[in-house]
Amino acid sequence: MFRFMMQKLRHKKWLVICLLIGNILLVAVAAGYPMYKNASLQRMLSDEFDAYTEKNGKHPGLITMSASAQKGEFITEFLEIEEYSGRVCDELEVERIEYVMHLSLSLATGASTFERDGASSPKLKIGSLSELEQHSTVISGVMYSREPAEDGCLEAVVTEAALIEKNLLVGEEIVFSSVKDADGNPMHIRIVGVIKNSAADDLYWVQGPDSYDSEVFIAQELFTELFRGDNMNRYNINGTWYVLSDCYTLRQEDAVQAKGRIDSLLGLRGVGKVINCDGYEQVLREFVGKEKKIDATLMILQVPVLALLAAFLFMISGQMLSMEQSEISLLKSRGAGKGQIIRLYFMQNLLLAAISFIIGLPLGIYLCKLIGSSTAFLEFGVRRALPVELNGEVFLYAGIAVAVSVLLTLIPVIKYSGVSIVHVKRKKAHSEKKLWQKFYLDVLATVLSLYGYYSFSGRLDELKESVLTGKALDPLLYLSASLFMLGVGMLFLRLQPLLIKLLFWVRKKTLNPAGYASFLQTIRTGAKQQFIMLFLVLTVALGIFNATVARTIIANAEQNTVYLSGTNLVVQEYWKNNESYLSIDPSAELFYTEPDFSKYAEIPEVKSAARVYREKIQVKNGKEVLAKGEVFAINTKEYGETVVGRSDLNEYQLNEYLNVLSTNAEAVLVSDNFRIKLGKAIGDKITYANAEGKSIVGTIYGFVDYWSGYVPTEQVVTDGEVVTTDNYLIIAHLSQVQEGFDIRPYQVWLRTDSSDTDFFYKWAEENNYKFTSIESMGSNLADIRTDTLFQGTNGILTLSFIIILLLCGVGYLIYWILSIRERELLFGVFRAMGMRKNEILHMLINEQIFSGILSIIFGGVVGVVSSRLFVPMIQITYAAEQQVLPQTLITDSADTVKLFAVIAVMLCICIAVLVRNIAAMKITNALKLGED
Amino acid sequence: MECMIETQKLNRIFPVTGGEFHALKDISIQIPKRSLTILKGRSGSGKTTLLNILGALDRPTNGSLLYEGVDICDYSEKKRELLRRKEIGFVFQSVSLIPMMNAFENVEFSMRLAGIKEKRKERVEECLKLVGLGSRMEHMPQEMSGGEQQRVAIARALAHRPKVIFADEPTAELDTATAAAVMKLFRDLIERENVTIVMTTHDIGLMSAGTLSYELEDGALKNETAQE
Repeated sequence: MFRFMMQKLRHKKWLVICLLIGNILLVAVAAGYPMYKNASLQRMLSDEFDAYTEKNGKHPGLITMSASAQKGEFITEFLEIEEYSGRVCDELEVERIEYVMHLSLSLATGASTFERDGASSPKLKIGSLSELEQHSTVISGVMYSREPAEDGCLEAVVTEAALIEKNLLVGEEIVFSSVKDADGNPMHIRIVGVIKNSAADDLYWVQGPDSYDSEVFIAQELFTELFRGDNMNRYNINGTWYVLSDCYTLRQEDAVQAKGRIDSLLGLRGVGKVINCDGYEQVLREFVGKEKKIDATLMILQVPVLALLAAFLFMISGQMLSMEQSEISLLKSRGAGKGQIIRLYFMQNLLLAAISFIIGLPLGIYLCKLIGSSTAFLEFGVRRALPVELNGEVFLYAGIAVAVSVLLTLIPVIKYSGVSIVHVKRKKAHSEKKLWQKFYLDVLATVLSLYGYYSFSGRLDELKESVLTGKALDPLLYLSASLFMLGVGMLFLRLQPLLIKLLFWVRKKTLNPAGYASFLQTIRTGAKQQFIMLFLVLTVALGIFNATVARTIIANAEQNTVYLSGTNLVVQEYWKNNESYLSIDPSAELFYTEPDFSKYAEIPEVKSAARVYREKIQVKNGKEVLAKGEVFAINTKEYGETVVGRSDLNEYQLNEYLNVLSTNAEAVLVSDNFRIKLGKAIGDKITYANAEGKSIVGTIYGFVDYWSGYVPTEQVVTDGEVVTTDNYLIIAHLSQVQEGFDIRPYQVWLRTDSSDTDFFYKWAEENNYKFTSIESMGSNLADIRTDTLFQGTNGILTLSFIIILLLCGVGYLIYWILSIRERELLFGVFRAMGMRKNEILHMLINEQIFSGILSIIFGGVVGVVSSRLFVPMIQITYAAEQQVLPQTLITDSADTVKLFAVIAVMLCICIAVLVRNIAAMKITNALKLGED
Repeated sequence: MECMIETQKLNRIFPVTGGEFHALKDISIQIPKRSLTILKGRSGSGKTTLLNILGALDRPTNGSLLYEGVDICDYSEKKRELLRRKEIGFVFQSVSLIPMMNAFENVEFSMRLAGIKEKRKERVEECLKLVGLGSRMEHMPQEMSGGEQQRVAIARALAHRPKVIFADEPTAELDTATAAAVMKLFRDLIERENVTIVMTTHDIGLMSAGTLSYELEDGALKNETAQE
């Protein structure tokens, strides 16, 4: 049996190779998905931690827990917190970097025993830090001893800050009359040394030494002995436990669990108990929300390509079986049972699956890295490597893929193994109507998908809101799109024969023999080709659809970023002011010193510079506040030269608005909501005031829908509810606004010749200019491309596209080669009857046009239509919270060119194979005439 | 008697691994017009090779082949194709109908190839009636028995009014009664259509059915029998 199987496999090596390719890809994609997902989520998690550090300047893995026991009260709580602090890292399954216990008594007034000038009665805390000795350097005096001195004095050290702040001296002895030991004697403390941190970057010092400016540290052992245990109920003891954990060791798959632990940790908060783990809290909250969305999105995006792969395997194995029908019936006639035949094929599929598993897994890793390096659709760039790893999940997915493939390729066997040779012949005689055609599944699928489309397009706002609250791409939406392609594709299969028949009837009389034969071939044996045709339609459609989705989401996000940024660099220089003087004399006017603006134009990399003053304002009617918004004050010429991005967003070109504005010093352009919501018209005067209460009057010269950086409506999610607020914008002359509101720090907009903004930092450093903010459009744009969701989407869509192309190429080629092989005898007959080789070629090319080219064209149409319908909705999922610009569908003709180029190459190979086969064909051999 | 085909010292040598295979040796035969010539011999005797050469499907290694006195050995491939389209009809041993065409279309196809545009329908019907399948014109090949298919093939070989019909073992896959009917059909055709028929067979029983028969053995002509 095994030998028979191997022989069979050798004999059909091309089909076997196809099956292998399909299987390997299936395993690779299935295994690559969890690998990629896990790796990129892990990367995202550590990025989030980094971002936290950058924003807050704190280690994100810090957990601070405090408790205080007050003279016997809250002792249980104190001990509970202490105990918890010891195991919190284990709970979170992260490594512990530092654990610092800070124990102290309440502030108490001490009396110095030194008789000296200026000696006061300092208020000090007796405290202790665990392992202080190891982390500090004594800069004066000595380190404390762990035992009380012979005279009963407790040795203590202080920080430099405390030494200065409390005016202490080394060697000084302080008596705390209110703090008494167990025997009722006041505590005597002798300051024996001054310490500082032994290394500046020592993570031990969560709070720098300087923050302990009213504390005398004694050894923690001593502190515990004196103030804890049985003595505890006599003192007010404050404990703070600093747990510094290595949050980067947190595994993304444990994030949800960790968030739960953090939540329950925070739940411990209560009277006398303070818990702070900002880093974890913020990062995990953010991450868990995003993770779900990314996970769901990536999963959904994978489905079509997995389905296509499955269909491919099904098709190839079906093709293989139909060629083996006679062998199966031979086996049956020799007494092989149905079970034996199924077993034979099961073994064969298992063998192929095993090979695929072995090759597919490493390929999966490679694909995963490839996706990880994608920067845009069909573009790959070098990026830091993804932390790809093989885990149980990967093997599970690959295993499922293998199992599915084995079963899937077995289905046709079960069908074929039950039929005898008689059935085969009878079946050949009747081309039965396909099940899907009988039940109008194509129409059903199309109608369902259109229903999906209309119901979604009726709920676009709802969709937007659900995205704001963190929902992922709605699977139903994506399903609708896929179903649409499938349904319309099948509809095409129903209509294509009618079209061909119509053409045939029209031209029947005048057709040449080759044309005639190809028409009949297509009409009569069309059913056999339906699968490959559907495959082609879906391939092309999905290819175009994927390309459009990928291009559109990135392009819209980029356009939006360009819009919000306004220009390449937006900087805010530090302006000197008299604020410190104002705190002494509140009646004085706030006044800023304007730095030199002309220096920007002199930077060689800067093309042009503009001053933009943006300030929150209220639109007023007397005392009444009509609306809240922003004034955007510019110098029209500068601004027009500096702003980048689309200038066609409004009714007229940007320059026309600027020209109108420049005609009058009082002129303002206002956002369209002034017209719609406030009923303003051109020529109306409006009054707007700043926070200081100064007001300006402007005359409306025009209305705009969009203005760089302007967000017309803002949606904020609070308690799961989406709240929408309108923003009002007034664009006015800088000089006018400066006259009315005084000169205030403005932004400087810089248009540069490249997106690289390093020069600016260098320039600022060299010239010692200080900036309070530097916003670079280039880095904002780069952020989009590295965003996990965008990158994953791009990567998966690119990968799907490549796989689809591959399948399409292989599938089509194999289909054709087999179809030609099957018909060699027929070609021999044609040749004997006097048909020329060219005519046979012509006939075959005709057939390719009827089935292949027509499918490809139709697939293109379906792809474009489904993109038009569904991509705008899918895009919403990816829209930024501040998506302002109307979303446009972006297609890059280069993608279509690539797709069709590959298809053209495929067709050329097909034709080359055809030509070769037909040229090499010997009529007499083909006919196998006689027995010679 | 007028000669349709004449061969002079035909030789056909196939290159095979390790040498040559002399499939036909100095074959000189004459096939008269309106005759039913039978080429007989055991399998491997070279009769099909000879038939292929006679039918312009293959070329002899040397020797000459005259069609109505004209040597076609030097014809270009194009001219030979034209010859096959217009002057020759083929009936093959195994089922050779075009599977995606029904009986009518199969027959009509040979007329299309021959470039006949006039009265195709009438001629196809005539031919199918002639082979006794006037009522099965719409049937697909798969829906017919072997004998019926073979008769459609004969009608197809006939439809474009060729001068010669070559039939390679046309009765090999048929039962005796059907085979006899096919032979009778051939003789009728010669009467009614003025064609020349050349067929091969290994069936001894059919040997006497022809006007003329040549027997081949190991590529050489063994003997020639003329029937009256």
